[in-house]
Amino acid sequence: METNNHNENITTDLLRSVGITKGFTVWMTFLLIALGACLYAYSIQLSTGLGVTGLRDYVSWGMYISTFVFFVATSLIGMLISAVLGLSGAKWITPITRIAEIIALAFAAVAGLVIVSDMGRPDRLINVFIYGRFQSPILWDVTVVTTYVAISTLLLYIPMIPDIALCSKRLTNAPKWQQLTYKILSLNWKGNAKQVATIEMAVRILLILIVPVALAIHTVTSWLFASTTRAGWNSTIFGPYFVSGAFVAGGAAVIIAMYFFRTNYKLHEYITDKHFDKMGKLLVLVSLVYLYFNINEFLVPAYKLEKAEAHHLHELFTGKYAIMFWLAQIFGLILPIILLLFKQMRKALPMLLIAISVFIASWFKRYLIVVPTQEYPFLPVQYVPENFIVYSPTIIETSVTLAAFILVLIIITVLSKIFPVIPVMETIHEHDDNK
Amino acid sequence: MKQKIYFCLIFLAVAFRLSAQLWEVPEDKNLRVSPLKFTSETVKKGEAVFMKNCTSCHGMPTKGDFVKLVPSPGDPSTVKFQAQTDGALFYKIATGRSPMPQFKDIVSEDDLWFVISYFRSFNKDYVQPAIDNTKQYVSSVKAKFDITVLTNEKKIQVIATDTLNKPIKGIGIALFIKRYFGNLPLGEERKTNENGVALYDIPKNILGDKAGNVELIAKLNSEAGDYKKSETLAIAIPTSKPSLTQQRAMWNIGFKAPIWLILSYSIVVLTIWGFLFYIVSMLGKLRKAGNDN
Repeated sequence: METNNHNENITTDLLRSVGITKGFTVWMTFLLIALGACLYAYSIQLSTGLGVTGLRDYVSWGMYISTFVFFVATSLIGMLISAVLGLSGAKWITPITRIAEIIALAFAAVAGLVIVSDMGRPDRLINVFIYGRFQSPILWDVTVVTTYVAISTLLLYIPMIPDIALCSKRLTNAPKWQQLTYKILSLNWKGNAKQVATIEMAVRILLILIVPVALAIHTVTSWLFASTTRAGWNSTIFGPYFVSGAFVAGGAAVIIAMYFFRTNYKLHEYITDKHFDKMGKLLVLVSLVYLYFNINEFLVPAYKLEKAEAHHLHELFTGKYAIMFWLAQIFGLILPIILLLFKQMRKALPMLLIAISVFIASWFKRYLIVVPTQEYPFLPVQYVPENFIVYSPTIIETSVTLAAFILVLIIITVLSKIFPVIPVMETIHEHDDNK
Repeated sequence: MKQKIYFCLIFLAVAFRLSAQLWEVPEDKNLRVSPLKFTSETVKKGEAVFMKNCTSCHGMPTKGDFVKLVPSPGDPSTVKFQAQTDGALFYKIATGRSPMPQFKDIVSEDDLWFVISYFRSFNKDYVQPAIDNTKQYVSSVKAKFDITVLTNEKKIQVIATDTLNKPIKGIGIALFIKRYFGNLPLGEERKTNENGVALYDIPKNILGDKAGNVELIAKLNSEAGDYKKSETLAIAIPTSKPSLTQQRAMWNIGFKAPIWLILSYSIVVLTIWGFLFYIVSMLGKLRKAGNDN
């Protein structure tokens, strides 16, 4: 009887956040207006061409591609938490798996759109598929991003089917369209043994499948750069360098989301200090791995100082990009590692601040990987105007980039409002197991 | 050290000499005028010829973005060019001097005048002198060339005849082999004999295609007219260099990718998506299983 009561409480608590509230409407209106403004900027780019951006012959990959890399990176966290930790039997991840999956899906899906924003003629996108070359990392990237979005969707959806059925049963006051969505998506879920077994099987396959695919998505993204001979890109460790950096960015994103969901949806009992503590330790671990790759990535070429590499490294360490570089390294890597070693820092609020700092620094870190080397090509174009050589993003470009971030927020907001952000049935089962 | 200084001095002296060297134009050539009237159409044609052949060194007229060579190529829109007569410009473009190529073998005479007309479009004060309509083109009497190989004598024979198949005697014909950039002259220009025949030695070291074919171009002496005829003949050394895009390669089109690459890509994609479709099919079973109790 007591257990039933408790389960009832869990269900009520976790379903409370589902549904359209006043706060949601205000927040969504704000997001949609902001998105509209940014899309207006995109319409200018679409009609005038990429000339309205700072992209020129020298730097043809700027803010957009940096953001693309950043988004792909952030989306990798879904794999780390659900698959790596999940398959290795970590129990504490239950309340944050869905958050991680939502983040993975939102960032991966929008990453594809960011690529489109970098195209002067997006109407020719279809040509990538018609004339795509097996030899080109760009085709591999398109394939693997699509695959990852598909797997992330399934991995978000399939474990959620019992919860959707629960929503269908409980949320009888919800609008018609919402109820219909639940009814269709719950796939006639009755919770019988056969269904449970089917879901377990499907999830297990997905969890195994997502590990190589997630590693591939960011490794292939790194190959877009590493398969050229440019200084700063011509590296054999770019794959693991990107993957380890991805976990840092994604870890920060999950911590930020955890904080906001916990505060706004009153989930203090479910996303506890213990979870922040664990995520803090996880962030230190992945940051240390990333630091290790950073040292490799900079120390080895800095030791040899081959001409082009020397120029590139000087620009980063002491030149024009020095401030951005050191801020990104200190606030994105070194300080978080040091601070998060202290127990007091692994509490919700300090963690939020650290995570925001890491998240922003991670974006700049991608910018530093993508942009500076292009300003110093091996075969410079002769007599080009100054603005061809030095890249500075325009307002339009910044707005279109912001649109991508807003879109991610919209996806996360909508998903977290239609579905419970914490797996209800799993939490109940775990609670029962603990008894 | 001393050597270095000497070297620098010599270099400077050569550079100075080259840049200071006057480019003499014979008086009669200097006074030559165009046989065609410069119009917006000739300017447009001239621009196309310029973009294809000249811009790589001279840059874009009015932009001053010519390549820094000695002697300097210069910008055709500047006074340095515009102060010269049409005839002088024609002569210089046609004959060239190092490093400026000799364009008379590369483009037609009309094209040269088109380019000059394009240059003049940058000069508001330019007034075209009366056009030269004195010239009697042989092409107006319709000459005909017949290019053949005389295998035994190891010669190439060009026979010039008029419309009545009568040989034309005493006209200068230059023979060229078409190459990637421009035409390679085959020796000196020859005058036709009383049978209308001009003979040229077959070159020994010219590379042709698989069958040893090259395209030969017989051109009438520019003074006499603007007629030319080309013929593909097997007089060169056969060379078989398969095109870089013939075989499967990383740089080829998608269908000609290396087999191992297509296989790896396809196997990986099919495996992963196979699993995904399998999982989607499991969802169908899941739905059905809801009906058993």
